[in-house]
Amino acid sequence: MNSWTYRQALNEALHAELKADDETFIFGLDVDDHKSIFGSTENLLKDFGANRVFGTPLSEDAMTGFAIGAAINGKKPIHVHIRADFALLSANQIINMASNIFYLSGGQLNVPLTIRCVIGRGWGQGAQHSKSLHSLFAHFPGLKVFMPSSPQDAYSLMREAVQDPNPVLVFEHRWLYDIVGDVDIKRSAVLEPKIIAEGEHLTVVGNSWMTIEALKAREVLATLGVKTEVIDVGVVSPLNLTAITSSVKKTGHCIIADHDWVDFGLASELSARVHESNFKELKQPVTRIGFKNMPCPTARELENGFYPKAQDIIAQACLMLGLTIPDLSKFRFYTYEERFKGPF
Amino acid sequence: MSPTHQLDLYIDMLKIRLAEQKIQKHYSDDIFKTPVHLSIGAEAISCGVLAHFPLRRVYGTYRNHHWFIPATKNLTGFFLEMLGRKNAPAQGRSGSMHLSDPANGMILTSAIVSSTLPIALGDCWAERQKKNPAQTIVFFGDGAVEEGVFWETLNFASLKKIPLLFVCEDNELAIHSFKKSRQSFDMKKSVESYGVPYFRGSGSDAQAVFQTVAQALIDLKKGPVFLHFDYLRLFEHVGMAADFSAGYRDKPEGTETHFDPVWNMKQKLVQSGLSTAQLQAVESDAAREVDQCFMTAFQSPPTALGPDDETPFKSGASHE
Repeated sequence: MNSWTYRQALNEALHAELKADDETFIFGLDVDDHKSIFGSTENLLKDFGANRVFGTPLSEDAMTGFAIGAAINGKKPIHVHIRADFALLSANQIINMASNIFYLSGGQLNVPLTIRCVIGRGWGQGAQHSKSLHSLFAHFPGLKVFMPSSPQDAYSLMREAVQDPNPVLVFEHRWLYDIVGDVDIKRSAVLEPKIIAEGEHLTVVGNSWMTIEALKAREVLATLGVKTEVIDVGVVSPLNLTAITSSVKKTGHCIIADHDWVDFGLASELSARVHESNFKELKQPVTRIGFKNMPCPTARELENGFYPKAQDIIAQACLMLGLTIPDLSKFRFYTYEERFKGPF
Repeated sequence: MSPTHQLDLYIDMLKIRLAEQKIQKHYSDDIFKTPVHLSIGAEAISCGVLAHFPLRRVYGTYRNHHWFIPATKNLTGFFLEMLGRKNAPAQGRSGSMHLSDPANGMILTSAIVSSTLPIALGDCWAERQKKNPAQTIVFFGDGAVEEGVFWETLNFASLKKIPLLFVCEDNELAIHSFKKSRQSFDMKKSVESYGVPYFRGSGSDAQAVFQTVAQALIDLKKGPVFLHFDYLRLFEHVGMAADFSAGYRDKPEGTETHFDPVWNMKQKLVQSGLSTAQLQAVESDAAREVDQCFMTAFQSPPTALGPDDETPFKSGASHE
């Protein structure tokens, strides 16, 4: 067992994958520079050479196509976007090409491509450096979408993504890079939403950074006697509902806290599915929590209003369970934003 | 070029032409339920290029029949896919615009202009990295060079000296808009400004195409090469009709003669001394083969949705 940060877990997973197969390579803007994608690609260039670890021109569209072609011809590319927003420059290649090739070729071709996307947040990242995009890409058949929220998942889902013979997008939240956790390198990836904290009164489904907020909310709710079950959606697509369905069957209450806009997103998809599968057990309608329906602002005061937080989950839970919202000033909420001093 | 070589090119082109005419003949029967972009007029480009590369990996666009047929030699597979049959190369999942038969060298085509350009580049890079011998070829129309990804691809190909063969099939038309209303730049100067060797020639004469490619082979050992062939699209953009009377273009002099690659090669064969009887024998063999392949495909069972259609993923991890 190792105690690793999320960034170390990513780095170890990438080292392991490049070591395991000579056909694997990693490329993208900045993967080979001294800052090494916030440390996640550290030492890869030194250990595997410039043929397998390289920077690119600012040509996300062509570079994605390049990766697809290399993948078709037996390579296993890992393409890195230091912000998820930049992946939109390659939307044609991801959505029109990579997702369809296995199907259109009648299963003759497959695309073992991994696309890493870092989600930015806070410190003025603003409207073009903060998108999550997991819901968008999960909409298209033929793409897999992973969203690790712990060092263990960062390690095992990254390895799974690289080994998967299909295109996989991995969304890594920038704030998660510093969290520390146990990583067992032998543990295989859990390819479905999973219970990470048990409870009996309320189910909170989170993902990425919202899972961290959900765990914080659970702590506070516990002081009111509420036992909250927290489920983390580490694999957005293909979506498996087993854990969520059985949890809601037990609790009868469900809040979905997605790190994305609410409308037309994962929260809406999950809500629809829970209503379909658990209609009889639900004591209240499912509630969705996510970004405010506006572009992400830059000023701190505006950002604070834009992003959902543990406090929002607590307030929603109290409303749902008929409880009075406690005085939250005596609790200490997430300090990552205070610790993160930029610039990127 | 020897008469035997000319005859080979003639037969290759003739099969494409006859296959396209077979589709034209039966399209109104509604058996081909797929948009068809006829390749008639473009046969010389594919046949003249492919003749240089017995080992090849071909990428292209939706106007792909003239590449698929000579590249794969899988004429039955062609009709099976066009008819949406179960035992087609892509099991009826590709249709006319995305034909794919990788086992026979036709890797991938796409209905989105220019989108296979960077994919072919990645394929070519992987082929060289693995020290494999096949030549990766990507063909595209003159409209593709207006897409940003074309220039991104050209830049990276030149930067990394990846020997991709770019083949531009220039019919001056993007659907119904002429090149002069779309392009501000000179293609030769622009391509050469990226350090990529550029060659231009007639795309209506397979022998001329073959010779243009021959000039480029030394450069192709060192990096990417851009070939630019001019030809006349003899029918409408999509569909079966000749559209010279539609009002947007005139019918050029020589449409039935020197703009027709099949006619052109036949003249050369006559000049090389082939008798009418010899030509007729070759033509009736080709017609018989096209007929048989079409009938075999037509009589094959249709494709159907199965449980796998809703999980469009390859199963299994590739190691560990």
